[in-house]
Amino acid sequence: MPRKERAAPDSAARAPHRCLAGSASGAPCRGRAARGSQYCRRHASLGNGSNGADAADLTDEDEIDHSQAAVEAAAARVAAAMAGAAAGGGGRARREPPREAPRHDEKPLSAKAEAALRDQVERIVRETLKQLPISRLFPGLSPGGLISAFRENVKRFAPDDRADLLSTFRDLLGKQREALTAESLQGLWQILQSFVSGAKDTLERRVRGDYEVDEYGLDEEFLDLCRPLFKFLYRYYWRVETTGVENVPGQGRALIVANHSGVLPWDGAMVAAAIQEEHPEPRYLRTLYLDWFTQLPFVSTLLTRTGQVLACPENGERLLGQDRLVAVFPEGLKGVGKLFRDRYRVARFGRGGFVKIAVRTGAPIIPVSVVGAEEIHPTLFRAELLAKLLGFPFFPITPTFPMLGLLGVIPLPTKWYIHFGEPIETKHLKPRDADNFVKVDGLANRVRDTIQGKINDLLEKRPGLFR
Amino acid sequence: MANDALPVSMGTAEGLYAALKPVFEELIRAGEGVELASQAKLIIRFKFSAPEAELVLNCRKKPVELGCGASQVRSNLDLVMPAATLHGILTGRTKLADAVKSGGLKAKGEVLRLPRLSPVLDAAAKLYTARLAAGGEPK
Repeated sequence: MPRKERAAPDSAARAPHRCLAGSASGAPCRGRAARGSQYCRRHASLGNGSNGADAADLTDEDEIDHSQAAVEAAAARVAAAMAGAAAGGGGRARREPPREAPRHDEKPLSAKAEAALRDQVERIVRETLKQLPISRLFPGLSPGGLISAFRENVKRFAPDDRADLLSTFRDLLGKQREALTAESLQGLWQILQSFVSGAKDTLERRVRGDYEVDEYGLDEEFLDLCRPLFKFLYRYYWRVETTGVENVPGQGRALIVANHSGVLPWDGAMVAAAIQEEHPEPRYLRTLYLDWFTQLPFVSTLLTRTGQVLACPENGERLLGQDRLVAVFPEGLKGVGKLFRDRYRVARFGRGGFVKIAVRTGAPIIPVSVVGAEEIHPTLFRAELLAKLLGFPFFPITPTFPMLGLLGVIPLPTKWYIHFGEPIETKHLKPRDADNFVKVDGLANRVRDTIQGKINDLLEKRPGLFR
Repeated sequence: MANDALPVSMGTAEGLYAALKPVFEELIRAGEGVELASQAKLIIRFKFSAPEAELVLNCRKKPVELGCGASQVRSNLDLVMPAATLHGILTGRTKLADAVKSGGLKAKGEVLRLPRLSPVLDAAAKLYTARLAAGGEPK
């Protein structure tokens, strides 16, 4: 509770005002100033300008007046001292006692002082950062550090990538010497920072559930997040070589038909990655997947989020009707559950359901041959009993699975080849031809033969399983 | 950058396209600076504000294709900036790194491929400044 101000009967004559010294908390000394001085006897040394005890160090509660006015006055004095320090007085200003009594009309002074102090701190931090070269902060990011890191690591890349890297580096060093200046590295650092902050914002938003999916469940943002993984698998893990990607139309409907293998649908992911990475007009590929994949943990969600759709004629026709690019693997379970000894023998294409979809929608069929996927999980035999117990259509036994547990799920890094064949038009057929078994079966066999023929070609040209 | 004033004639999307399209077309014809971007299979989308406009440079196509206006093509590098920032970069008043640093240029997608864009912008800058000078526009 604030004490009542005590009146001084002869204050004008004996002591015109209170002592100007204050405690560290800003409360003023409640002692009266000595005659001819602005300080009490205890703080007389301050008035002499001597280097005595600092007024701010006073903590003697007995001598402190807690009245509101006194507290305000002291606060204003402290603020004025801070402003003095901020303006360049440094530590000296704190040692000097205030020369003038505080004025209550300067109430917003503390806010001003605070702002001045904040500006000053910001300026110092800014200047300090400007003086610190990025090479000292991050030695690896200096031009010298980058060059030595490049020399040490270049041999780890495949010959083609190495040549590409070397030519890029040569260009940078030749034509673009300024590309390796501290400034540009700072720019790169800035890009990385904005990338990280953008990723953080995205993550926070997604945790809040603030994201959109399309009518089939495709989450573009999620797909963008997964893209580096698919790109890594495509470029570096399976080192996929793609040909004929120009046969895929940049716009309009088309049905991609490919051979299927590899237990898990990695071939579908790589066909989609090939279109993303190589096509002049990259577009989403909507794969129709087997209902069996919905039984696998995480796989179903992953497939839906990446834009794949459950295989059924209605979904296929609807997607093609919307002028989308759709992929099917007509071998189905026969393909993914194929034994190693049956590799690259394309199984029968069911009852030609994909042809019916293409004929009804008038979409061209693009046969795609995938080589390399058959060996990523070489199935030695199928454990039928175990499959029945688990409710799976088959349970593959590979050299690594289930012997190595979850490690056995990691696919082998074989070398892949993907060829997109020339489109087979279906426009000349009428929708009622979709019910003509002879025509449908004939077209399905034609597509199957095209795929098998190209697989045989690629296998002949393939130097080895891993190269 | 804020202090890079855009010429009045480029104040509208049409004006901006009229100024930039010939520059990039000439660049593509001459094949200058686009080799690195083509090797990197870049599809760059320049998304401008003030005025709202969009340019897509598809370096995967042979020859490189330029699209003006909103496009459905999926790019792998998006550069979002006020048109004045590109003007500043092309006139040499602003460096690409500075534009990124100041937040005037925001890159999305495969940002680590941004240095591959540098030769394209350098070559474009020469043509752009020459065109500005020929057209009597202040730099």
